[in-house]
Amino acid sequence: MAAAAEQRPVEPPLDELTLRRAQKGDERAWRDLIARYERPVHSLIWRLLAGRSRHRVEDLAQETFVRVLRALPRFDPAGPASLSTWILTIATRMTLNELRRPEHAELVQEPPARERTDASTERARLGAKIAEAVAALPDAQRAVLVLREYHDLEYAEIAEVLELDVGTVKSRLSRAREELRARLGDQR
Amino acid sequence: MSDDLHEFDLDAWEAPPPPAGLADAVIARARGGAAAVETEAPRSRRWWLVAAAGVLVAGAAAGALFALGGKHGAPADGRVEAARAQRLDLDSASAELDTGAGISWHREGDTLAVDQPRGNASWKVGDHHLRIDAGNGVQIDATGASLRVEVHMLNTDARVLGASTLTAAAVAFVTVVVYEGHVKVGSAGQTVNVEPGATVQVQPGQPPGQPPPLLVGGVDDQRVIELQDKLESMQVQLDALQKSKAAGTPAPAADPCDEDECVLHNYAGACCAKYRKAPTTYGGTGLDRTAISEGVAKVKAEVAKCGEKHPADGKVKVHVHVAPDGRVTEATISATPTPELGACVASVMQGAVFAKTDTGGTFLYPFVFTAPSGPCDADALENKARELVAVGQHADALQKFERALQCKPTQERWQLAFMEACNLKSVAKAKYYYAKISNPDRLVQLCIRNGIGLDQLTGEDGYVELLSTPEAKILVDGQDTGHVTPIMGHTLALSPGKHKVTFVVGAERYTYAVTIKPGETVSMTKNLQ
Repeated sequence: MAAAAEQRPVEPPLDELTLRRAQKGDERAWRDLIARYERPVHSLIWRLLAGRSRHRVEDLAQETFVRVLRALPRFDPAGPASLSTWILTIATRMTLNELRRPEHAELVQEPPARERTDASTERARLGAKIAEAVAALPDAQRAVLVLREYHDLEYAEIAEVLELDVGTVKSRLSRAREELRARLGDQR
Repeated sequence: MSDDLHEFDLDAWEAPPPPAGLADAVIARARGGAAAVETEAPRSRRWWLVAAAGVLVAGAAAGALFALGGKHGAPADGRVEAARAQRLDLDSASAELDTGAGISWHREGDTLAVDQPRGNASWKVGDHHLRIDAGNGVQIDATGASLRVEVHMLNTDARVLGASTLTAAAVAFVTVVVYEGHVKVGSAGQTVNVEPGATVQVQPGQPPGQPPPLLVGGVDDQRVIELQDKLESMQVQLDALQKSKAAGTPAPAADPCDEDECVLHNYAGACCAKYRKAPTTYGGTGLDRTAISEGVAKVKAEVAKCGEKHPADGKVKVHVHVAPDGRVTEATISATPTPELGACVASVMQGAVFAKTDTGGTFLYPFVFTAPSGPCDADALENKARELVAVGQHADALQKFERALQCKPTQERWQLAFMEACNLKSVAKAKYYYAKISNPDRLVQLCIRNGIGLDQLTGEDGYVELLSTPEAKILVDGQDTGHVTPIMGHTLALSPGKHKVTFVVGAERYTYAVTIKPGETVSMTKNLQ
């Protein structure tokens, strides 16, 4: 929804000095970095797993940041990827790897959102419908859609994150949107 | 949010907030290398979950180990060598020892006196007084605190030395990280209070707070050290600004043309030009610091090999004269621990190539070498490498595994080196070690998880030809190739798969993706003007 998009707060990037301190292993800077990115990372993983086991979401979020902190000294702020995109890349790839694991099929599906929230509200019902529709997408399409629609990544950035051509990103996104429209046709 | 699905309120699908304590859990793991930590656990419990892996005691006080959370009356004195990460409960204090840590302790009234001559340990002490002697006169006093003490060694095989035989000279520096409570750190007759959240580093014989020299593969990087110094000064400014902000007083505006600001912003902006163009402290008259650092960086690996061929402790100072075309016309040694090492360094520097300048220049560059102590000990190197893996220092770990392989190659060490190459996403090294290991199928998944495809490990290399206007320095996947355009023929070989090619023209960088196929040559021509 355009209005929602305009209202979504744009988080400022981590300031350069904090980043450099974090790269040196300064714990306060680590905490600042995690505080800045824990919400997008957690929500990204949660949406990519499409409502499956909350416990795995937390494990993956934790593992993402452990890897981020360990690899941080090698992160090049002048490189092609911003810190935000780099962190989301790590989170995305870890989650997609998780989804490729055979035991993934045995992960416990959490109750749909409408059972956990106020079922009387129209928005919660819509949220549950969207969750079901997104969960039904193939993993590859879901990743493109979530990165674009919920994390505002540019096509080129999504291509970088998923190691795809920009054309492939666009076609997957187009198919994902068509699928969502088909499933949510009466929800607008 | 894209406009394309604007008809739906996609934000209605709300993600739950992240769990409380995520940062605590992550930092505990990043610091301690432990397995996953429960984020929902109470804070006190979380602290104890760090690094409680196996238990093995090599010392006089084996009975000092207790089960998690147990308090059974620890002996009044004893000694522990931690062959694995383990926990100690000493009644009035507790410790989580990293692999390789060694401590001994005794009681002096209400004070628990600890000698921690090597290794890393996280300590927690209640109302009693904990005094830790970290060697060479570095002393830490803590009450009602949790802290981490890391004693960094010069000798890679320090782990195998017994506590009684360990020489104080082996301590390179000590790092103290304070999580809670108040801690004092003393050295060289001076004591500082370290507040929660702060970290202090101490070099033996120097007052607390002096950062240690940064060693990169046995060779110091003058540029990095300079930047570290500047960063420290920026930290002081930042702290002052934060205090000022907290007090509600207006903070003084940062001078955009302050040299520190310029350094931190990579000399962006016209007002920083005076610093960017400034002559170097090495006496250069055309070469700037960046050009020197970049030129030296290209040969640093070769210089490091000199240290491997001619092991010695000490500093090699080399005077280098660079012609306007960037070639070295003279490299003379003014100080060296051994003639062989100096000659080797001079020979390498003679072949270095620097950026072209109007006048060329002369500079003095110091390389610091640290010789491995004692004979080549492959087991000790491997153990050290495993410790580095546990704390996520994969580059250093790979270096140690490689040295262990030089001492005594084994199939397991080839495998470990392969795994670290995968962790580092180093396609070239992963490919090299892949060819050495006997059970690649079992381990190859690690590389794949790190983005290195099987075809990159097994396939024939491809080649890339690069042309640009103007001439550009070429990085591939962020690493300097040492080449400048034009690059033709089979000069630049790359493993099959996707790579990022970066053209560097002055301070500008232009990055392009390229897909390499085995045996094929890809050409790229760019107008960067």
